[in-house]
Amino acid sequence: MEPRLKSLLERLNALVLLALFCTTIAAVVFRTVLGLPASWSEELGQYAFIFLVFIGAAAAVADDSHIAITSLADRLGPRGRRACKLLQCVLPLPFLIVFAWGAWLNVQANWGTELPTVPWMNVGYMYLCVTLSAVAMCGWLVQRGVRLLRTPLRPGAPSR
Amino acid sequence: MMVAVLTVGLFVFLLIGVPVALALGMSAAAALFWSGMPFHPTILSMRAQFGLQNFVLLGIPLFILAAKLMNTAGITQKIFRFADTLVGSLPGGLAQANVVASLIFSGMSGAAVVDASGLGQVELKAMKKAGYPDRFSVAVTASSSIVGPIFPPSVPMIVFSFVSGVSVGRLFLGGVVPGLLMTVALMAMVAWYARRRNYPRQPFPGWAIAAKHFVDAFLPLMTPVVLLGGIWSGIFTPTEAAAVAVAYALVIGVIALREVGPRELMQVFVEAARETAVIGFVIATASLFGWVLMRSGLTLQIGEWLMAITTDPLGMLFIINLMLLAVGCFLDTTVALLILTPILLPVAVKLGIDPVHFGVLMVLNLMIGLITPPFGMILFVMQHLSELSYEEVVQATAPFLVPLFAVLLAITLFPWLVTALPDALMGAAKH
Repeated sequence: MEPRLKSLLERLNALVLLALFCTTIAAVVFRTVLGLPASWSEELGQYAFIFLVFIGAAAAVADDSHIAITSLADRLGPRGRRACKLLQCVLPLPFLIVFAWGAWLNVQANWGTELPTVPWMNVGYMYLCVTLSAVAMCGWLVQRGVRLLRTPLRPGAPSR
Repeated sequence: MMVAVLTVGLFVFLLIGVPVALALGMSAAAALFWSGMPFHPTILSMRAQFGLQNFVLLGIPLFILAAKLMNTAGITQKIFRFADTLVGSLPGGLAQANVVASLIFSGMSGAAVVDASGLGQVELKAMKKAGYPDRFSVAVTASSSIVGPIFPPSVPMIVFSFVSGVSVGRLFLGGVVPGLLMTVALMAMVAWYARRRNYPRQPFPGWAIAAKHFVDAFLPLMTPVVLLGGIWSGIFTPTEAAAVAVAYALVIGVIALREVGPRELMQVFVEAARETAVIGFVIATASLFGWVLMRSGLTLQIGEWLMAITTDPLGMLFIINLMLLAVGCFLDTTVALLILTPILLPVAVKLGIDPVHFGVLMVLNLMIGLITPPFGMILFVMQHLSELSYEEVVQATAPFLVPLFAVLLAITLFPWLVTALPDALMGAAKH
């Protein structure tokens, strides 16, 4: 289930990136070839970028590929390493929960707000993506923490 | 209290190994919570998404995508062959080609790690085959890969522009002369090594083969011309230039060379999206962190401390250089730019330092950090690509820091090396 969801998110994100590319190149084509301004492309591109970041950020939590400074944790013994790994899973949870809650409140507040140049795009959709991303990150961190606790500690075992 | 929670919190979270993006958000949220000011959870997601709502940032995924497409299309081999034909007959021929190929590739890529991991593979393989010692090959490849984010286009300069409001076009043009200087300095270093160790020169392959290599590399070679020409003439903005670079890479890879099929295309999009998300999430939470940092008054305090040390612009630049070189050894470039630009730029501007000059200096300092231990990202890439240990990579690369420091010193002492080109092509800046 977990790799499938992650793969799904990554493929979805590839499509968002394609959309971002298309909207940006459309601005050049509209302006230089058709002589028409395309103010919608800038706004849509920025929203696509936000979707891209939050969908991808959730997927990056799933495979632990966010930028982190692990040199100190890696130098510790098996117990210390395990404690650090557990803290890496537990400490972000309160922040992510408050973040998701705040984003959900923003979904409710902005559900009817349309983008000025792209009426079919709702500001609430963007906050919904942020909410779901934070929830997914929480889920993956909890799952990783539980998996870590269930794994018996073996001295000298590799950290990952 | 707010400052203590913000700084100590960030330090502790980073030390434990919490992802940088989350550590920034966590310390910012904690500082806000304990500041005594009204705290509403909506502010966290609002500030984070505000941080991403900037058209300039769209250049990041698009330049990453363009570089990955060029790598996948096998353009890197063509560039390396052309560079070898061009400078292979100089002392240490293939190593010289390595440096020049990095400069050419930097005209289409904006990230040093993409250069090191893509073109770097081709360069290391070719140098190994020609009998060069691994340590020397790794050193040349690592040091030349940091030319990428100095010579336009450049992802770090987009990030600097986003934080500072300085024109991306000016920053791109400001990086041209320093990028060329770095190339010349590294080539001189290679020549010095080659003479001492009797490294071979490549025989000139003849005009017919040289012409063929030039034709093969012609389309990729035109990338910086198309991009800078488009930005300079006003046909497109730097962000749109990134989309044009992707379109150009697609035309070369999919239509002209037919090297990129649907499966490779999907893979490239997935990888570019993943890298963008990792950088973008840091930008989002760093925006929240930066906002809390501003409210805490720490930025003003640090500015005052720095001004108390010296008010001489050159003295300040040397202090900032030292600080950035140290920071660059520990912190990721994007993170360092996002956190330090709002603190250091106001001080620099107050002392009359040109923001474009300052931006290029900041990026160069942090790029040098990519090849200095303990956390030089490119050193890790080189370790992964070669069969050397991390310590061997560090030792081999260390002498190549000398020419890079020389360029850093030159552009610190002579700001016009950075500002002359943007001023000449885009008019004098009004700061």
